[in-house]
Amino acid sequence: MSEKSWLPGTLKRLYRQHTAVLSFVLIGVVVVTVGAFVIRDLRRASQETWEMHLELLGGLDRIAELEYQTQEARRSMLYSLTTHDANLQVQYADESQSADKRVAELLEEHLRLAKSSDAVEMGRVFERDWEAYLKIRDSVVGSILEGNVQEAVQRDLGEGVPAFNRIRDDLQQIHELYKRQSEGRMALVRAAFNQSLVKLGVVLALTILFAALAARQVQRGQMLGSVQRSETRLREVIESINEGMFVLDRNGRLEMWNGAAERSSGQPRNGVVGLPLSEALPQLAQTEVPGAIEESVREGRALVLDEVSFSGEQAQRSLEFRIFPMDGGATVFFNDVTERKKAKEALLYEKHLLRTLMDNVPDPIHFKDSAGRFTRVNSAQARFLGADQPIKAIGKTNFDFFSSEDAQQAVAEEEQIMGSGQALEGKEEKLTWPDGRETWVSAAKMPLRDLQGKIIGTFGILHDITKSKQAEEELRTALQMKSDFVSFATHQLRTPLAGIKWLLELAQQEEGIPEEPTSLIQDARESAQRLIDMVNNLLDVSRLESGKLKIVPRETNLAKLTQTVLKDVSLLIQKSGHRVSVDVSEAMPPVMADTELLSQVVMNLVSNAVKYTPPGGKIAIRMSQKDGWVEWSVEDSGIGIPKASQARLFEKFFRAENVHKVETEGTGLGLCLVRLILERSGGRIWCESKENEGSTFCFTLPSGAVTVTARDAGPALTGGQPHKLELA
Amino acid sequence: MASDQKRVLLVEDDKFLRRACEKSLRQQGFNVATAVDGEEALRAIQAEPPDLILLDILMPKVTGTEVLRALKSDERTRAIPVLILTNSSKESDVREIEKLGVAGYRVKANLSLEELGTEVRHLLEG
Repeated sequence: MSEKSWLPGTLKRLYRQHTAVLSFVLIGVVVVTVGAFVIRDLRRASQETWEMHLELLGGLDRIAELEYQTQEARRSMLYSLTTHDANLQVQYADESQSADKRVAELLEEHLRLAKSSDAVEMGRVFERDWEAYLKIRDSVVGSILEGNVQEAVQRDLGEGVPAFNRIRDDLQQIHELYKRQSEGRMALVRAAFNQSLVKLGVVLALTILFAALAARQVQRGQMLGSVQRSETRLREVIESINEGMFVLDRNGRLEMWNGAAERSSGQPRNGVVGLPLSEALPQLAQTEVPGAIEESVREGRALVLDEVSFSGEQAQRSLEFRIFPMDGGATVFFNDVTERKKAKEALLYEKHLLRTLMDNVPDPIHFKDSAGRFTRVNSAQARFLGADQPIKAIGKTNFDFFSSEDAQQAVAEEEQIMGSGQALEGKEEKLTWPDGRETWVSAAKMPLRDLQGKIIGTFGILHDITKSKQAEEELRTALQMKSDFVSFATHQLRTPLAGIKWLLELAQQEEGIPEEPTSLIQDARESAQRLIDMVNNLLDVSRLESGKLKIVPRETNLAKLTQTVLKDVSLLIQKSGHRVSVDVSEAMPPVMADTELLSQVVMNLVSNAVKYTPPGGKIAIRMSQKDGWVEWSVEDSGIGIPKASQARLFEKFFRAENVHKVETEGTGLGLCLVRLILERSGGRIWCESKENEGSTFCFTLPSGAVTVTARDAGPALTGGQPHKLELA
Repeated sequence: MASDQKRVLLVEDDKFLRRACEKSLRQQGFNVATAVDGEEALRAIQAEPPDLILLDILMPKVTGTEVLRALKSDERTRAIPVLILTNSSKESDVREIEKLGVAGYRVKANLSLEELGTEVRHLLEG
């Protein structure tokens, strides 16, 4: 739009808003002015007409008066001639003179007032004829007065009448003259009037024209008004949108720059409007935008640039440009799509992650609709189903791949999952393929919900556990075999051992055997017993490890149990010359343990302390309780345990490096058995030791009513009598 | 001896154990009969029910468990006390034997002949 920039804003607005009113005012002024002129002309013409009329009337009056006076004068004069009454004669003479006088006056007035030279001329003619007539009349009157009537009559007839007729002709002529003059004047007036009418017509025509123009102007004004309103609205819309917008005119200069563009670019409108784009926004010049605008304008089609990278003040930004060619220029919308781009990239990345997962995870993953049809499967699932591509599984169901029994089972599961909304996790199932092959899978199947949370199917992930199932089976078999072997071996070993033991016992009972063989038999018995104990220990360890040995925890008085054990080994202690102290804190609660097994524990620990302490050592046994636990410890002043050996002390068949200093017997099963018993009873054991200074073995057990895996097996069934523990 | 009249049936497949055990019990004054397997044991019991049965478990032909089951299912033999003498400590055996009901369960390797005599005497007198 072209702007009337010279108009101050308010006037501009007034002009825009009141064009119609102003037009009417203008037309009014013109009509009134022209009308005034016309009326003035008309008034003037009519005034002149009126004046001329008056003048004419005056002239004609005067002529008529002159005529009348002359007639009067002549009549009076004739009367005076015809009468014989002196008085009347005098009267008539006076009247004649008076009329004459009046004629003279009128003539004088006429001459004074006569406008045209003709009238003056005719006046002079009349004056002259009048005077000639007066002379004749005077002579006629003289003749009469002399009594010479005959002569007077003759003179009057001969001279007076013609002279009078001349006067009358003169008057007639003057009258004609006035008439003519009046007609001329009237023509002039008519002409003037006609002229005025023409003027009026012109004025009317102009008025109509102006009115038409004004109406048009009004219409245009209204149109302009509505255009203006819609433009205002458009501007408001443009200002209110969050999208940056600018308009380039056909010269490539910025014509419009909306608020969003200001905010987005930081460039105020005043700073950029009127400038070429490259100057207004130099950053843009580096991008593909100017080229695109040029192309859009040249080819007359809209162009969209999805992502234009833009170096902002803080960071790289991405803008979207939409270019619409318009009127040789272009309208350009732009939007900061940095966040959108980021979100899009994040979404793409998410998709990428999902795809990567789906394509590469070795576990089959599938999505199914509510009818059990595969809607999406990953590569692993496709391979699992025997399809070379995931797409080949889409739309199919388990019935297409598995035995109908398995497929039916899957349908039931899926219905349950969809019905309850609960996932099915860690379910191990065996699938049978049509060729009879069996596959074990660990399946997690979950309800698939749409975005609104409505359940629309299921999805699942399978883990092929066929191999681990096989391995498990093998392991189970192996464990069973081991267990069976241990049982078998134990039995097989214990039977001949029992034979040796019993036969030696019988042999020793024989009478009359010399002392030497008796002592040999005793050694053989002890040796056999050691072997039996070792087999028993081995069996116990094996059964504790496999969980086959049932532990029957009961409330057990640990202090009393310790005393019993000490009594059992009192001979050993006496022989070694150790000083043994027992320190029991007051109000010791009972411990929860299998009494017989706990006896083995205490026996093992005490006899170890006795054995691995050089004669005359100190052994201190202590018992205390704390927070529901009972702690038992035995401290010796023995050879100690090398640091390197401490960590493995409780392992099966492990023996510390320095045990040989004391003796060579022992199987390395004792402490392992102790540990296993304590651990199975809910307690634990540890050791603190310094080589050549001594060792302390401590264990804890739950006190009071705390129970561990109790079973209803009787005490007689846990392996027979209390084992005679190996002391090495 | 009071137990002279009382008969003990020793069922043991291992000949050394059988010999040692039989000899020791005789020495201790018991009237001992022997059977080498479950089959023979059942025949012997049917023929002449003993007052106490010392029963091994792992035996050929008919196992001790089967013998015990047969005894417990027979009205005439149900009341005879049975002392299990075995070297096995298999939990499954133990459970079934316990269910059927026995006078005792001893591991032979952990038992001396002297202790066995004491136990037998105790069972016959009790």
